[in-house]
Amino acid sequence: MFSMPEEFSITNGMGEMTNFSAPFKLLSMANEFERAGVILYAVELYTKILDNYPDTFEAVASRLALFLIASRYENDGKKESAIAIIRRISTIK
Amino acid sequence: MKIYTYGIIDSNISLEESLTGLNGAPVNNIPYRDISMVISTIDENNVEMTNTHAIEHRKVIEILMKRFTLLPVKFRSIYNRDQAISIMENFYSDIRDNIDRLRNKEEFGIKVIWSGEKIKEQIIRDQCRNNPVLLEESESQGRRFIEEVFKDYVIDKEFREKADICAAIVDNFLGKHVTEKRLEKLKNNDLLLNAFYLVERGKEKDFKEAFEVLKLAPGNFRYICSGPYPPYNFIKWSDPEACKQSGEKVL
Repeated sequence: MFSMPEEFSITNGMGEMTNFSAPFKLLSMANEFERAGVILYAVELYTKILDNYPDTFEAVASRLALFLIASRYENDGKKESAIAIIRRISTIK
Repeated sequence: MKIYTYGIIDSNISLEESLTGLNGAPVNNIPYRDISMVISTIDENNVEMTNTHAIEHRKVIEILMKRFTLLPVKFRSIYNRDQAISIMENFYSDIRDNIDRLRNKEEFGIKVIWSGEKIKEQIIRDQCRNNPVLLEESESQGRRFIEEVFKDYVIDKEFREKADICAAIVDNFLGKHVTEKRLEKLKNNDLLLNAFYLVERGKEKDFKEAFEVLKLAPGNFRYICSGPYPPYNFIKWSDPEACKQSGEKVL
């Protein structure tokens, strides 16, 4: 659904030293979607981080976010969606 | 004799319950219009505060908050009687507004702790890998200094951005159960989030359950919940400076 370059950079006086890494940018976007209530997109992006960047800090944050989204789904009676997310968290490393 | 103050309540009727406060002194209230200040007397020559006093203060607060809407005052607030009345007179409108806004609400504190140093080390590793120029040492001392400052800036910026997102994830989850919040991020490297949440009575259970879920969540975060407290962090003054000065004058 989303396509973007792997690295995002802000150029400054000393060259391209402020790099926003792809996982960080994805995490920011996922969080923005989540806060805006667009949960399906948020889940997709958090999952993408887990799939593509499993050993990063962003994966840790994504796993936390997905777990909490699953918990909310469960509270709202959306058990199947909750289980699907928990399965994703558990199967990805 | 001075008076030791516990807080202001939404009632001007004498306290029926026989409460004891600091040093075992009986707790009374000084009424003003439809509110009152809850106090006990204290010997002005012996006002040094100990842990025992803190416990006695807390016990009174806990009882009061069960029965009234309580605007707590700071531990160690000592006035004389006239000063206490003048505070209620001068700030009556603010006090009333706060009582109405904070009725049936309690404060909870949430601390989220992460390993700040480890996160920073990771950022440094990533930055050095992505920007090898950061590893190069300039020959010019001036340029080296600027590069060091810039490197610190880059690392600190990324550290804060990561903290912002993690805090937002946690707050987004807990925030659904609260009416007001105050968030303090990165008070130190390890304290990712120090949050105060105002929770309506009757919704504390939902809030506490959400906190229990949070504790089970994956990730290397540690969570601490405290409360319920009276709303220490949610009292608003239309002129905070005047209020502060008034408090300082009488202390």
